[in-house]
Amino acid sequence: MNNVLTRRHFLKASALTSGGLMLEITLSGAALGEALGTLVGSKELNAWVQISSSGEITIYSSVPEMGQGIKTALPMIIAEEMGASWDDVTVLTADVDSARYGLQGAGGSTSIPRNFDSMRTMGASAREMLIGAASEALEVDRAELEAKDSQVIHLSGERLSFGALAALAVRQPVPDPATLSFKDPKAYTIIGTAVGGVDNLGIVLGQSKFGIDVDVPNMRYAAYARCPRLGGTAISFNEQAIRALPGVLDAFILAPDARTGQSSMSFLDGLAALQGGVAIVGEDTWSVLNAKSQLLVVWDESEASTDSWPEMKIEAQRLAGMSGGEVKRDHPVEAALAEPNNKVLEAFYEFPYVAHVCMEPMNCTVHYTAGTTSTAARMEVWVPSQFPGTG
Amino acid sequence: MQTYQLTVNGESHTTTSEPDKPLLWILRDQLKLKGTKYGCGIAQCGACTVHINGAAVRSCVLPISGVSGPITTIEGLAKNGLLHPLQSAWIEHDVPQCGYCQAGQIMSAAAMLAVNPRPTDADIDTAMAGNYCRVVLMFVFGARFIQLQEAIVLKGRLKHE
Repeated sequence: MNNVLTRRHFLKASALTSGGLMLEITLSGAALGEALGTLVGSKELNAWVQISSSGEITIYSSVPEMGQGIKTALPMIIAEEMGASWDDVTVLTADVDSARYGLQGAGGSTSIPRNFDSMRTMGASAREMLIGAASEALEVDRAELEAKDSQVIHLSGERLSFGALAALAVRQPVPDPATLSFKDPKAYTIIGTAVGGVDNLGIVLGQSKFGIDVDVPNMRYAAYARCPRLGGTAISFNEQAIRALPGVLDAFILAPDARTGQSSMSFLDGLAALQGGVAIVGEDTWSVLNAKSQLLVVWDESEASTDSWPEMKIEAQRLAGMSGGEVKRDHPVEAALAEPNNKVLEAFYEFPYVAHVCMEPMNCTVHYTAGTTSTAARMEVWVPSQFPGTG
Repeated sequence: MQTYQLTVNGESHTTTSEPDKPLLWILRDQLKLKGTKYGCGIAQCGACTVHINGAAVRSCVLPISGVSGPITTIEGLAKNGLLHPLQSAWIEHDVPQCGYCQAGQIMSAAAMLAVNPRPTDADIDTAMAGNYCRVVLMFVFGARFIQLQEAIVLKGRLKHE
């Protein structure tokens, strides 16, 4: 356990100097020996890549997979650059750990452009460490070696598998990113090919784990009924009837986050803030969903938002009738409008105020372990999220 | 609370439950078979589809007291270590995106093929009309199943609605 902590601290320390991407051996003396020992044990070349002595290559995918295929695509970039054979690669979802992985979120279709350079830097540095290891083992110049098909191959034809080199590779100095060179895209053998989603087998077997599938022994289930208007609060509910329903263990009112509606609350905090409502705790999902469907709540909406879609539409129509301000002017619009051969089209467009629907019903699992005299309290959280770590 | 005897994927289970608890929650919360998914809870999305006596049913609205016959879930579709031909086809054609609705999609398609091995496009549309996909993978409406000798090959015709 101490070793794990040491390794994490070590990686965190290096992340400060390199943007959370590179593993750099910058420690000295006893600390270096300990960190290196841990690294050798794990055969970990950097935060993204592990190679076992039997040749299995594990690549961690740090960006949330939501069906966009990023859990397959980012590891492909690493595997390509390190010279791995895709068949040897197993992809695992990385833990949320911004010290190791930087920003862990996906949005705006930007994950590939945002991560391409760092992924190939990871792959190239792993490759250089494997080549360094082979150069040492074969006592040849590293310029005479190339990494391909999960092997390092010498000009003479002599070759060593990545697995055989793994233990030696983690002892190699981590290359300075500025010294790395990258594959010519014309030589790509993985990028640009259709490899299939790494989770496909698990999905078709019903074994892929989604947020809602997390199961902790003896866990309880809760459902929450929020006030239909933002900023409202629950005054009372049919508590006796709810508590008498099968499988219900507890039911209670929660006040909204006290900062709701205040200008001091940021937009993102506002999205995440607790809304006033009634919580029901029970033995299983159905018990609490069933009870929620039978809730009768008296709401206090006196301080709640009065925004409504019909009113927004009316306001939009009113504003559309007023003269607008000039935002941008590229061409002489008046002349074009005055040209008799041009046709003027007029339309009023509106777009519904719709929610960004989730992949799975909103859910979250929390496992709280109370602290003792010798250990700190611990809370582990599983949540299907587009932005699990903000870096 | 009453006691129910269930056969799920060939295994016998004895479970106690309120009679009106839907089968979905017996499978997921009691038997810990998490492959069958909760989507809407009102039989509108198809994510919870399982087989009873080989027919596709929405387990989120079927009370446990109404179950009569052996149940097959997505976990039981592959048999003796062999994938169901649809599962192989799904992988071959890289069908899943996020995957949340896929257990339901596959179970609906498998139930249809079991009674209609050479479905027309219209048959497929009818059988799959109750299965929805959040990530606009509306392949079900355009999917075509072609039987070639013993193998069933799904020709994925991806269509973004």
